[in-house]
Amino acid sequence: MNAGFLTVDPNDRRPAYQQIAVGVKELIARGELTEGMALPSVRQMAGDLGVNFNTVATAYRELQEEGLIAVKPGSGAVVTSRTAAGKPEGLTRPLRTALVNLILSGMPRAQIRSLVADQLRDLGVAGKGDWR
Amino acid sequence: MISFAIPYAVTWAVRLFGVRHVLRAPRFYGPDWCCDCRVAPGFYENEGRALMRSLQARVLMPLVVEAALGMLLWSQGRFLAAGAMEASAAAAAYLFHLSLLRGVAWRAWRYAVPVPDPVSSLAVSLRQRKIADYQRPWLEWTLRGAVGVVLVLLGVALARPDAGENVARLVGLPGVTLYAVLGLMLAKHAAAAWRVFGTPAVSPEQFMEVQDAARRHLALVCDYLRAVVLTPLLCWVALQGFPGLRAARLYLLVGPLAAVALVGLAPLVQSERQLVKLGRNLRTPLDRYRPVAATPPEGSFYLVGRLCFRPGETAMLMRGPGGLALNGSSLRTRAWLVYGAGWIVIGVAMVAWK
Repeated sequence: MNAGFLTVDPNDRRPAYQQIAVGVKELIARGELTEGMALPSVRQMAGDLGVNFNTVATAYRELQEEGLIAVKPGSGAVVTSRTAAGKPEGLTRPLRTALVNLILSGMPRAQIRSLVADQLRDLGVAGKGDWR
Repeated sequence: MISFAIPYAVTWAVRLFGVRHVLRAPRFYGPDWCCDCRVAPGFYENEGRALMRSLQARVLMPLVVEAALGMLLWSQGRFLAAGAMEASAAAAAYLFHLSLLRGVAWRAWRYAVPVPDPVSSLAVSLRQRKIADYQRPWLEWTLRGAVGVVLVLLGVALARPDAGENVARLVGLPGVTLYAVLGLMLAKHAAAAWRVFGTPAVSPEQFMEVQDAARRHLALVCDYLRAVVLTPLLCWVALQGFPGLRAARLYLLVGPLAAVALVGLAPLVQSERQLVKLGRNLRTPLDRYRPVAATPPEGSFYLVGRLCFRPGETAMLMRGPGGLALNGSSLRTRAWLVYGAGWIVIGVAMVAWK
């Protein structure tokens, strides 16, 4: 994913709305979408991607329910404050599940640490070596 | 007659220049390309021949009809009507050619050369697009001001004591012209909202730059046409309001129009050259892109093949079983249908007034 845009793969098994929601979340996590930044209207994004209006509306609704964006009728969606979004206790469980799955897959611990560090670096959270 | 013949000839020259452009457009990237699709060498001698013949027929046939109609109007001495017909045909042809090329591009994908590592993902910009991004404020305000002046001068003309016998003409001509201007404004809004083409996730910044340039160019075309339509109207209304100017009638009608048409061509040509230059650079990333056909949503149905209803889809034109189909579910399509219906109402009103 690059700055200022997100990608949707029609061959991806995940539905398009999920790809859009995850894409926007990643951009917010990486700090490329900051508080107060306006997102394109549902109509514009649906037209640009060539997907159904409801697909983008569902993605925006999901992001709104998670407190990541605020949708104002007529003026589009804006990114909300990151402190207001998400509850940490609800977020550690999927992380733990993912780590357990990685361990059970037989991946060496060092490789798991490296993988986590790479992902964090990709999100712009940590520098090289912070997690090693 | 010469004063009408010159702009008429210029319009025809522009029209033929456009036709030449369209017929060469599929080979824009080179002989191994058909629009944005990489094809096998010798394509235009084999499968591409039928495709090109179909394009040539669709582009050239309207020219024959136009020429015949033009000759008929000239033979009857209806020079202004011939000029108006040709100018409207040139404007409509621009949009018609765009849709024809889009159709050729889609049909060409059947003959695409397979690539080892194709990219089918689409990228979407997270920047909000607004009409203001694609217009020049000074030009927009000048054109709006011109409409205001037309209305004021129309008021002056209608306030004259001899206006009573000419009311239908005084209201009819500006009404029709301003309605055409409204159509151009609708087209400009459509151009600003248009995605131009799906953005492949390979070098998307490069594609987005071309899309932006294309939108800016189309908006400029609409503004140019607005200026070309409004200028003679402004002069005509001034003549109606101030009959003392009628001695210089011909100069007033043709002079400013020729000046605006010629001066306006410079930025238009410059913008097109820039667009062409940017477009040619897309060849390399395009080579790896393969679009994936979207599945129609639930509740979709096609009416006579060319009109479809795809709930929730925002695009005006969609791929249907018989080629491109107009999507009746799109708000923009409905706006254009209402606008088109307005022309029918105007036509009926004009016939009734006569």
